[in-house]
Amino acid sequence: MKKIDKIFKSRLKHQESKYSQDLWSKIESELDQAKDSKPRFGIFLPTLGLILILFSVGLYFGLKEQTVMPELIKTDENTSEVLHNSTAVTLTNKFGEEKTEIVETSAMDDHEKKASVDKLVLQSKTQQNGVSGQSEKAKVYASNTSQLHADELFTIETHENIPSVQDISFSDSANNQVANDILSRQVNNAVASKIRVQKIKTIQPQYYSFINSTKPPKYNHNEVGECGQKEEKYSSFSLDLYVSPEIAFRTLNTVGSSDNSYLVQRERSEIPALSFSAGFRLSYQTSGGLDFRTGLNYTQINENFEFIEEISTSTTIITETPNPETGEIIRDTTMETSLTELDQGTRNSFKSVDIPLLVGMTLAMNQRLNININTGVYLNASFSTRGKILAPETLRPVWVSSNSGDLEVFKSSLGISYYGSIGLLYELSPGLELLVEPNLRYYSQSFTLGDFPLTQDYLKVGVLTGLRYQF
Amino acid sequence: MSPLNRKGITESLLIELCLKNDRKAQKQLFELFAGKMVFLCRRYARSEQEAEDFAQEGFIKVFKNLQQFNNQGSFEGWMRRIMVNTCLKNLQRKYVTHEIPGVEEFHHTQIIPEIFSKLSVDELMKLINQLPDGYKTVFNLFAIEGYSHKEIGEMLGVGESTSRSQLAKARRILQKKVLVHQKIAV
Repeated sequence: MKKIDKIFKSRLKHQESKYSQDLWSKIESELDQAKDSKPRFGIFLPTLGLILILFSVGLYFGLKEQTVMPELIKTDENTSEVLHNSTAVTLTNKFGEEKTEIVETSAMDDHEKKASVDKLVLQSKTQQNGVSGQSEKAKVYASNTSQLHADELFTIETHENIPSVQDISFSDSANNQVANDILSRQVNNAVASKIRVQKIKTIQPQYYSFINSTKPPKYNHNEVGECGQKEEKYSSFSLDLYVSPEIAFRTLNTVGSSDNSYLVQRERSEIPALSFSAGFRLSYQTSGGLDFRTGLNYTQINENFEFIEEISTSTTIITETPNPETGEIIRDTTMETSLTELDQGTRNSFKSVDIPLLVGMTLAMNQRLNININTGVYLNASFSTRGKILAPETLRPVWVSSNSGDLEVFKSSLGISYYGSIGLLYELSPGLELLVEPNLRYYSQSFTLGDFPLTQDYLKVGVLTGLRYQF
Repeated sequence: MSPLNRKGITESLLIELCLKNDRKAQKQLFELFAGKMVFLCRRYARSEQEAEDFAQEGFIKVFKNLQQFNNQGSFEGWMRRIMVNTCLKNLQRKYVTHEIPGVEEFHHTQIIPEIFSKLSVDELMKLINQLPDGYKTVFNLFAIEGYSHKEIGEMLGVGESTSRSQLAKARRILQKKVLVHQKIAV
């Protein structure tokens, strides 16, 4: 750089200039305009919660509509020329809704019967009372479930000698897993030797697989036992045991015209630490596939309080020396001041016990993997705090808890918090599943008391991990 | 986050308060830097009013983009860069740079740099403001703000060689002007 440049730089770079008095007011008014046009962040979380709830409800009713069986099945009108009898057929969908239709049945010779038994085979079971040729229960096996799609003609062949078949269920013979949740139906008067039904809607194979399992069959199915009796494999109840590592996101806001500098000091001195929840949930699944859960949940939100206080110590040293000539005592006073640092850091914890009230649903992805969606509220049963914060007036560390003598800053009850989760269930063994459930929980109330100059709100994100046991 | 020491309101605390849209803190920050920033803008602008307009726009940008300041360098340096960019953007939008014909014919005369040292701040500013816009901008950016020719080229959308030649021309004009000034003074 040339010398001339240096001269200009040294004389002009840090020079200050006068400016008009209204410059700040112009800037301020522009900042105000910008602030007013910004959307408020506070709307975001309630909106997110609402979307999650609506999504769950919408998904549930959407799937319900798709799996109403009476709309999917009708009689095959094309076979009318070989039909000579009528049968009342009650079709029952998975939600318990019934629809009775009159279907025409056909009498076919043995050759025709054998030819028709290509997809589904009815196996009758003799009742335990030994009455030969009669059965109230029957089970139909699909030879290959992958064939159950798209306008496929399902043929149900009843045993000629069975005068009354009251219950027919379908099963995947390969896995011996009952699939009657979607295809269950009752034939009230199965005097006919053959019933033909046909799907009228085209369903893609992969989607078929999805809706086929909106309610896990194993949770609520009746399987025909060896003696022709119903055997309930699982009840509608299940138990979750879990622990959830979590991160709590905190938002501090000033109340009214309180000083922002206290807020900043608080934010600087309190740092989020790993939090956790643990507990159990008891679930009941309705016949409609909806899950209701409740239980007991313990949550501990942790934060580190970091503060190094400088303590000034003054020492007065008085030195008395006798004057060698006069013997008079000469007193010399000096004062020394030293600064020492005192680490006031501690771990702050917010402990709460809550009762979850959740509604959810389970969607099966395949034979072992299910998706679990939950939403609902947590009712706070108890809440306690232990730790240090900076006091608003002095900006010095003080203990805060419900103990007498400590500063009362936090509430003793948190009311309602909102919970939402989408998780995965993996079947480890029959009746036992691994549960991994990413979740978020938003506390509707500030943790602080109403007269405190700051509100303290939390949003918690975690991954609930545990086991689900099916009774 | 470092442990907290109980001190008064520091620059970093002021910035944190500004991030919370604390109007008092914003005003304090403005008052802390307004004089310097308006002066900076005066070196680029054509009038006092224009300089204040540039400074106003610059401060709005500073407050709106404060979260982008990462505390790694000097806050004043970060603010200066925003102000300079605001000035350049406005100048490019408002004016087209014209070079003065005949400058190349200026003959070199040995000028003792100390002559400039004797000039007041106002006189130095007057000299700078007499430069054509293009030369003035390059001289301000290189000599006073300390940008390299490469950076100046990128900021102005010109080649490094253009920046160099404009700087050389600016220096010659300044030397010429200072001679005239000296003769008048004598």
